[in-house]
Amino acid sequence: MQSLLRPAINKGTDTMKIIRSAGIGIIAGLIASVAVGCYRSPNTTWYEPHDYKGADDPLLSKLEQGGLHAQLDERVRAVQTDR
Amino acid sequence: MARMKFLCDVERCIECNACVTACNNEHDVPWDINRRHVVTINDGKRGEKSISVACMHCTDAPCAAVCPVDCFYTTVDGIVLHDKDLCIGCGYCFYACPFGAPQYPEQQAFNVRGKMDKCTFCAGGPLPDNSPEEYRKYGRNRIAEGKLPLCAEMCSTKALLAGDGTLVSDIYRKRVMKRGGSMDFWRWEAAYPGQGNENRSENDKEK
Repeated sequence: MQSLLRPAINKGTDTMKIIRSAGIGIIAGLIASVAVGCYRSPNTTWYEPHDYKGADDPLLSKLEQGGLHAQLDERVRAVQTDR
Repeated sequence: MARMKFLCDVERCIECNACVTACNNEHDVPWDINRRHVVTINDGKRGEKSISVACMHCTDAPCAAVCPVDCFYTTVDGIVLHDKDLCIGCGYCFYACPFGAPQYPEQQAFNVRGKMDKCTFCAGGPLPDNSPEEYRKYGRNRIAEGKLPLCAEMCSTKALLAGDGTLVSDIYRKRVMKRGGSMDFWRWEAAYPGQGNENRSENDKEK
């Protein structure tokens, strides 16, 4: 009778071991994720006031080349003066 | 290099609001925003004057001075622009500006403040020139195409001037020299020669 029950008892013990190790793994994972998620870098980003921090405007390089300015000046003479 | 400037000749402005309409149409501006508006003083009285006002692209722009996220920048020729990706819609620039240039878009749900909108001198924003994204956020970039702001280009009386400040002031100076100090032959005096308010109807006087 006992020899008949031994495989079942062994099977139950193995299941418990698997459940226990899985539980430990889950708890460790939770602790790690909480620790990482709540971590806050002590380094701060310091910006100088009144320094534009956005993307570069491609128009700026066009205006610096000068050709566009001459074109705009010509336009002023063409359309802004009295007919 | 001179700075790009607007100048409105109050002796010529007839309060037609075509500049406002042109701006709204060119940039597909939301209904609740007017990047440009026409202000009239002494409306209906002798000496009435109208002036078309938008962002004046200040040299020391107060909007840029108060912006907590520093989203304003100035081009080499003095056009004050802003980056809507940085803007947090706090509205400080709205309070700081003496011309009422930066405005709220109020189309979204309550408490969704959106991004401030302002006149760009038809120079778009910090995105590829005339890309669909730039047009959606800032409107058309006419400066990159070698054109002047549409409000000034289509002004029927050429009251609104835009362009290099030196050229604009030169045009205005020549006008003043030609017409002299008084413009009475042009407006009120042309409509009511030699008289003040007395020849207007009673209804007009009540207004």
